[in-house]
Amino acid sequence: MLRNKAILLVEDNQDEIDLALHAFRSSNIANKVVVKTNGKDALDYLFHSDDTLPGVVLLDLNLPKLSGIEVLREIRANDRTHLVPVVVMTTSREERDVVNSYELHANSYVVKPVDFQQFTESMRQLGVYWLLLNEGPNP
Amino acid sequence: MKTSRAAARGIDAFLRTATVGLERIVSSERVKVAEWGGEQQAPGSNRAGGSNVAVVITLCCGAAAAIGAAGLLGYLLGHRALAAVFPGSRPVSGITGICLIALAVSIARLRSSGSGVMLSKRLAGLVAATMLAEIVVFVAATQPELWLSAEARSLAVGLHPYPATSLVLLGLSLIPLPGKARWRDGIAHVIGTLIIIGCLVTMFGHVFQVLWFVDPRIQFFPVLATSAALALLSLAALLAGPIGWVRILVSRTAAGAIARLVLPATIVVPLATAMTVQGFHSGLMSRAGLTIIVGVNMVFGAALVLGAAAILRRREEAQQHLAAIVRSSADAIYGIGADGTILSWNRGAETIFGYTADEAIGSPASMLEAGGEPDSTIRVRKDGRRIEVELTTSPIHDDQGAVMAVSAIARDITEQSAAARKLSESESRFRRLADSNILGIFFWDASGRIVDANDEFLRITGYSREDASAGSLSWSQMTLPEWEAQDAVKLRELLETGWCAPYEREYVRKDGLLVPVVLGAALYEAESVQGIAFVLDITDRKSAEALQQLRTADLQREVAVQTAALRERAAELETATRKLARSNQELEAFTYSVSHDLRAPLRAMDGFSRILLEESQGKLSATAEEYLHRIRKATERMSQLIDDLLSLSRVSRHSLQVRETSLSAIAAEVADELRASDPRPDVEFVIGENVHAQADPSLLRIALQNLLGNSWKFTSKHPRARIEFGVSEERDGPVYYVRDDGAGFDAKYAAKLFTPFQRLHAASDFDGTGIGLALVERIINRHGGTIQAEGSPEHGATFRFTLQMPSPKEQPC
Repeated sequence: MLRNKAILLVEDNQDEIDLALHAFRSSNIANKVVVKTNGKDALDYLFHSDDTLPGVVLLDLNLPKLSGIEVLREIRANDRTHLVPVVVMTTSREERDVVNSYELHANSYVVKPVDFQQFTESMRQLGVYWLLLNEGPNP
Repeated sequence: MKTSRAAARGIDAFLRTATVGLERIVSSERVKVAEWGGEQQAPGSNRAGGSNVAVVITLCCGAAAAIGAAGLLGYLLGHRALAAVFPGSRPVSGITGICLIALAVSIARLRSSGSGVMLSKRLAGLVAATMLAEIVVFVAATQPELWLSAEARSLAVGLHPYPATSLVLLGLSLIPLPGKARWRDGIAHVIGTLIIIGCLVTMFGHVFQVLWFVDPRIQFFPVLATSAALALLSLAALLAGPIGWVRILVSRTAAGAIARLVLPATIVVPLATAMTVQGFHSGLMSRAGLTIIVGVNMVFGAALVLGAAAILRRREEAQQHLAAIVRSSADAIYGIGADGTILSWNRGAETIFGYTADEAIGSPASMLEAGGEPDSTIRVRKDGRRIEVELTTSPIHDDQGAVMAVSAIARDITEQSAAARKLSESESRFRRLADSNILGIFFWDASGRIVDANDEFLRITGYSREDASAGSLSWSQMTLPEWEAQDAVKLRELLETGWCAPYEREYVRKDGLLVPVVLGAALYEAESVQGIAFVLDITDRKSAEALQQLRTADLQREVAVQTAALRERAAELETATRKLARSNQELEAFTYSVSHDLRAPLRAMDGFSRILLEESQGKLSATAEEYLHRIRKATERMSQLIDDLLSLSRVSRHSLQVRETSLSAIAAEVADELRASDPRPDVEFVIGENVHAQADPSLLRIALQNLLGNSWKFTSKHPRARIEFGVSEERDGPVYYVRDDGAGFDAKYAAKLFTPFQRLHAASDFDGTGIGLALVERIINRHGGTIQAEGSPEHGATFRFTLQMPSPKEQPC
């Protein structure tokens, strides 16, 4: 029942959040989107929330307090969350970030296009893929 | 014998005294050695011991002189019995007595040297003259034709012709007459022998009372005493030579010994036999006595023969012994005759020279000589080998003293001589070392005293040669207490191993200064405590070392200064490095944040512009919409610029991974990508086959993407286009090129092409950020190559580049 699963968006930039939510909306993705604006909140939500785990975590790397890479490490280190699909979504194309993310078992690495049309398209594809096509682990 | 010698000495002394007196009377002249005396000194004589002969001569002369003296005294005193000497015999006349004494003295002095000889000859001449005068007087008195007074007649009474003649002849024979010595000897020999025989006959006549001899009326033969004296004098004269048969008698040979043994017997035995027979006939002796006497004679004769045989045997044995010694001697002993041929050859000679006796005897001795110097001791063996011999030659004289042969004794000293030469060489080498005074050398004895030293040692220690010979060089005096411990160690080493390794120490010179030396020592033999030591003066070296130390100190200071400077530089460098590292980090952080933070706002601008356009559809003026579009366009371009900047930075930071790369394959892939992104069937790609290079494939892909992408882009306005990629082999190596026939560029801006963000075309004509060629140049530069652009407007552009990475095989191992 992935269709009902939430999307956890970890992003500190309000512009980005708004654009992402707009993109989901215009792509007709109706799943609940939980937004956390820093790594600590994101981990609190994942570890302590009564909600079921999100179907996918869209993780920005450039975060205040805990960086995205550290959040990813915590997620993978935690028994409850170590299998949750995490897609690193960032503006950076840095080799270093790509390698680090995959080493921590990120499920995908997506560079957000600057062009909004392309951005909306990639959001739609991510939603379709991770929430409809992909079969995640049982909670 | 002892008694007889004593008697002889007494008589000799008497005669000598008499001689001296007479000598003074006759002559005070000094005369030289005469021939008889000279002959007596002849070498090689094998006469019997001179002293025995001298004793016999002296006894004979003494007896004769005694008879003469008795005769003279008796005559003077009118004592007939005294003058007769022998009872029953007639008296000796006074003048005969004088002559006998004179001759006895003369003969006794023959053997003496110097003036004695001359005196004896003058005395002999006096005797001869006296007797001659007496004979003349006698003849004159007895001849009736001659008138002589009664006094003269009485003077001649008692003269006997035989003794008178004998005395004349004997006297004359002793006078040095002119002529050859041989002749003189021969005459003296005959005269002496005849006188002896005559005297013996006279004595026998007296013994057997033969009338001729005993009748006073017949006065031919001498009286008994005179004949005995004449016989003794003749014998003495012959012995003094010795000449004639007497030489055999006195010789050391077996013949001489036998003659001495048998000759008296040949006189005594017949005499005794005759006397016995006479005694028997006159009834004085019985038959038994006769038998005993004959028996004794026989036994005596047999004893004589056996004695002679024993003498011969002893001689023979002695000779055999000598011969055996010669035969078995390891030395070569050989005889060489007067004609130079080898006469005898012993076994040692066979061994040393290699010739057998048969080969050698009769051959010339010169075959042994090596030639060259006559005195050389080098001889040649039969096999041609040269040997060195120690040679002793001695002449062998005959009875006359003439050299009849030479005996040679040769010893092979080749090896000894070589050894001696080596020893002498080694000695002379050592001597050279010691004398050269390169090293100080000294010798010490068992007590540790320095017994000898060379000049250099004395120079080093400042002592004089006199100090050294006075034995005042003392080890302890030359040693400071601080060296004693080391000396003890070295002394132990010396006594244990026989030598001690050289070590450095100091000597206290005589003047009290210290001199640094290297000292080494060795014992003569392992057991000995005497030895030799050398001393090397290292003052110069020490000063050089001191100088070196000063220099080293200078150098060390210099080094310290330099090191401090270097450290400073290193610190500066480290600071710079740290700064650089920090700025690199900063740069990285900058590019990182650029890639993150600069793009996000762009997306927001683009996103919200878009949303605004969508959501206010138809509510905005056309101009407002146009502005929103422009915002979006600018955002896009900004995004592109950021991407390009980042890729330029990435290329700079990227670590090169060079390997064999097919540029043809990369170019083909890029071409395919371009055609796929924008299908333009009128564009022809010409890609050279098998273009390879040592390069980083990912960077070369970026470079070719940019170059071919440019060509693709700048040919887009032409209906047909040709894009080439290939390589041309130039002198300096391969040159790669990308060529197109597109828009080209103005050649005067060629250098500006590679500056980042520099564009030669309006963005409206060809889009692009102006970063592509800068990127390409950076990639080429990172490979160690260069890139050049050629072109002209509307006639295309050509980019040539090299990739001069050293190939692996050219790299040094």
